[in-house]
Amino acid sequence: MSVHIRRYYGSGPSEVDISGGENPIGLKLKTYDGNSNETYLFNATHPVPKPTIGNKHSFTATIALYSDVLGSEIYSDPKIYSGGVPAVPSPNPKGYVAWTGAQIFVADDTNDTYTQATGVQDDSGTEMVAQGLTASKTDLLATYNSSNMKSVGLAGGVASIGPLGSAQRISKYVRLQGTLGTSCSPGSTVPATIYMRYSVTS
Amino acid sequence: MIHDWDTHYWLAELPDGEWISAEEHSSAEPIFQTAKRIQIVPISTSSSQAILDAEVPEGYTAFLRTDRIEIVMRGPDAEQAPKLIYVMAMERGHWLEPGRIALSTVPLLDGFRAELRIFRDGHGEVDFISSDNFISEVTNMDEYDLYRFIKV
Repeated sequence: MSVHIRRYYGSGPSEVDISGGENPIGLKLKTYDGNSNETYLFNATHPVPKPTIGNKHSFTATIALYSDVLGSEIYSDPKIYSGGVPAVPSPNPKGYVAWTGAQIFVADDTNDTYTQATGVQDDSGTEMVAQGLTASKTDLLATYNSSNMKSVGLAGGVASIGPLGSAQRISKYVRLQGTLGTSCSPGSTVPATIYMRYSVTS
Repeated sequence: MIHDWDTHYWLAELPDGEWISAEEHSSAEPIFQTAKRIQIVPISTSSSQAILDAEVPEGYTAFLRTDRIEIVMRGPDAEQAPKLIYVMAMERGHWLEPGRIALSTVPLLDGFRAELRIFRDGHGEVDFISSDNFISEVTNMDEYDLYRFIKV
């Protein structure tokens, strides 16, 4: 029984716990979204190619807080934020590249309606505003941190949820998308940190 | 309710001198709103040895929350962030069901917000913000640090 973050993907949607357990999956941004674990597995398949002009995008990822803790907790104030744009470590044995020309955007709009991400597999996802998932977006790593968190909202737009009678998604859907520009360096960017915080009355 | 991962829990002193705690009650229960004093205290000697303490002045409402932090994407700095944050808040006024209020919707006009942040290595840090009429005092005792939030 836990509160964790689920990633929603494919046409169903399918869903997977990405923050719980001994070895959390985490969030991998790829140029793929289908009813398969290829969507979320932390491997090198379906990378976002470096653009020669304009931008290339990952497929938009959809996440939310989910709880199966029954009968005891009241939830409020879900938020998302980051640890900032990470610097390249020194030494750098894994050969990470800087975030120059690379961004992770968060949709300014959150809601309770799931929409599968679209795009061209192994090339570029449809940019989230163009797909109609949000009216606008914000650079997550450059903008939101522990002193300036983005409010996400609870499922259904209520002020608090709980105690729960059955397991359910407790936050609205949050959408994230990686975007590359022509100035990016090929390779793996330094791993960034993104958090979700929520309040519990118990 | 006290969870197996909790490092601290709350206590509340009722007007008749009886103490209740998170062991038997939720802070959403009406009895909690009758408390005249609240504390957040360590569960064991292996918890960060900090106690947060405040009297509830007449006309004020106390709010207790445990904020939890989940990691969406894990970079190297993720281990340096707090894992749990025990929140003690006070604000002048009356809320019908303060346990159900989103604290972010309660403006800090006449009160305080205190946070005991518990990090992944187990250490704790206390942060305090207030309107002009509350202060924070810390007393270093032999076995713990006592943080008192006082109306002035």
